[in-house]
Amino acid sequence: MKILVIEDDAQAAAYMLKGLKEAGHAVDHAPDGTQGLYLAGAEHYDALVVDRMLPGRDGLSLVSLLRAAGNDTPVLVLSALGSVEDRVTGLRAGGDDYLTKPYAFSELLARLESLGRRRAAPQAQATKLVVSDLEMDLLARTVKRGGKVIDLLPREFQLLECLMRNAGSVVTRTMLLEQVWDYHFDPQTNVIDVHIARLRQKVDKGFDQPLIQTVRGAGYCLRP
Amino acid sequence: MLTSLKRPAAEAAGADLPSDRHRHLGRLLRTTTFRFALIYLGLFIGSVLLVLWLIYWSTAGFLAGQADTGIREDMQALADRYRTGGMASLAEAVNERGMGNASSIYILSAGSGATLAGNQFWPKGVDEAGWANLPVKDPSTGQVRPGDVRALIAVLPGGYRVLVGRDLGEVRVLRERLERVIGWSMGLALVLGLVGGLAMSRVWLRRLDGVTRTAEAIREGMLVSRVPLTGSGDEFDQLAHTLNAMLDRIEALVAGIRHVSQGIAHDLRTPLTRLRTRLELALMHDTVENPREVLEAAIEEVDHLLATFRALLAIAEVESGGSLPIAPVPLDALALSTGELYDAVAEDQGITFTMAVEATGPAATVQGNRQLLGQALANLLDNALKYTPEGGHVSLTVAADGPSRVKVTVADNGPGIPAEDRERVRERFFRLDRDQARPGSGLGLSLVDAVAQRHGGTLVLEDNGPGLKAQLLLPVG
Repeated sequence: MKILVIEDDAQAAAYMLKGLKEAGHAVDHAPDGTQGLYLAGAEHYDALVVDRMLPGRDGLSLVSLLRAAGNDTPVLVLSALGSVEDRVTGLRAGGDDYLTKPYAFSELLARLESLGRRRAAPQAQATKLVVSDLEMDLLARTVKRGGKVIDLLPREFQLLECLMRNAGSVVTRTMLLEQVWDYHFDPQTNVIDVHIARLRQKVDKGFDQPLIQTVRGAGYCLRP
Repeated sequence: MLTSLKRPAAEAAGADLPSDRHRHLGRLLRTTTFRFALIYLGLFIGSVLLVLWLIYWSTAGFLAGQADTGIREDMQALADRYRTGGMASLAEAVNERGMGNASSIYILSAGSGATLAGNQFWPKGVDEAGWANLPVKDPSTGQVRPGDVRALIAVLPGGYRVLVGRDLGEVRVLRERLERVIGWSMGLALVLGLVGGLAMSRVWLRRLDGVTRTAEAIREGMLVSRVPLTGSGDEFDQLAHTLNAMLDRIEALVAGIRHVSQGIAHDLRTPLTRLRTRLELALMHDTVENPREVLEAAIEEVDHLLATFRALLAIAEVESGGSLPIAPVPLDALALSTGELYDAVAEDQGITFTMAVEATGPAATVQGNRQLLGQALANLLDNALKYTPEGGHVSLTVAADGPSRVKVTVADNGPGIPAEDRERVRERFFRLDRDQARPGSGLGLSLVDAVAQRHGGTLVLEDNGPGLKAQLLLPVG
């Protein structure tokens, strides 16, 4: 993926760039809003990371301008303001996802990859998701593994769908809580782990190759 | 603090100095009350003057008018005598009328000025026909009173002149008395008004001084100061009461901030120290077998710290009263979805979890923020599941509480919270002694309480005999 990071804090940007490069992405950096806007318009990126508070031009107006110009590159907005309302305004301005500082780098990476993937393969139109011998029919709402039907509860179906859409990349617990339950807060106990454990019972039990992997310190990943 | 200690002492010492008294008087004179008193006094004196002038005019003026009428009638009668009986008859009539009548004057004189008849001599220099005011010599004291006689003079053919007059000395005395009364009463009203105005200003100032002194004390950091109440229940007491209530709230908020700062200092210092130690150990490759493990533990520690920070910020945001996205939130659906999220956790821990939704639709819909309400529910369920032992029971109920409220109850049969701690668990960082060893930040119920208050509701914590019954009461609509 080719990613543009628009972040004024030099140290934070340096760490982010290093991490993203190590994860195998090509990264550009713009230290202020004006340069960021120029680069985002001139080059083709798979995803943008935009800090909300920027010198020159603030992050949200930058996103609004990009959207007004017809640029639909996925944007992950970073903010030191953590409030519920800021999140809403951030998304309303055209951001695709919102992450509050301080965040875990794994969270940033997982969300960026998810954004880039959504754009690369617009699976929203797809009616079938396939990972290895696991098949999900989105219209009939059925799941089969190796030809054998797996009965899932509606939430389990949503959980598996989320993992399958991001197959091969890490999906964090907060991402799952957001996408499956529409909750944007930390669950105190590891509620997500319990739900994943149940899903594993149905999807992986009795098969030689486990598909749902735990990525320590980050989240889960569905991969063959 | 120093100034506040010094000032009252200086005031007490200087209270009797003339300059101080002047300053005090100046302050009284500048008060709004005194100004109002002055305006009132002006209006009062103006209206009293008008009334008194009317009385004066209608008494003294009436008497003078009456005298004129009498004189004119007398003159008419004399003229009639002259027409019927001639000069001799007129002289006779003048003498008759003047006889034994001290307050009236009748004179007939020849053209030369010689008095022909009457009870007095013709006054000098009075020749013209018409009205005149003449001086009079008081027969008893011999004093001359100028202009006290009102006279009408008529000129007859042949230069004869007739004068009919009235001594108006009594009317003048009455008029003078009235003027004196008016003068004195005005003076008295002015003095009483000024003194009254000053006294009223003093009373008001003294009452306001209570407020001012309290405000000054607060400004100097004595947050426990309160405006004194007189107990009369008047508007000043009401104001004082309102101000005191406001001060109570401020004091509570400040105490809350102080408490939170102490909580942060205490609760974050320990994990930070632990974290530092871990990282230092990781640097010592020789002594640590697996530095990666140490780093992972450190990350876990940091995550816990971040979660605490986020919870603190969330509480602060809810309490700050800033704007939040508000929309109708169906609590029945929210409870089902949150319940479902924790149902798996309960099952995992061997706890029976039951859900009952008795209120639906508008009866269960509140105006609020779905994220915050969801988190409040999640915190309550999380708490219940955390403290309920295996084999226990946790229930979640949504029911109507009267026509205008909805009640979300999370009940467990765990150890519960002792009655004396049920208020304190709402405080940030407060944790029961028996739970110190368990993981937790002591912020969960604080957030629930803040969310409830933000939505105009309350969090009620009760004994579930055994266990805890946490009820979230929220207004519907």
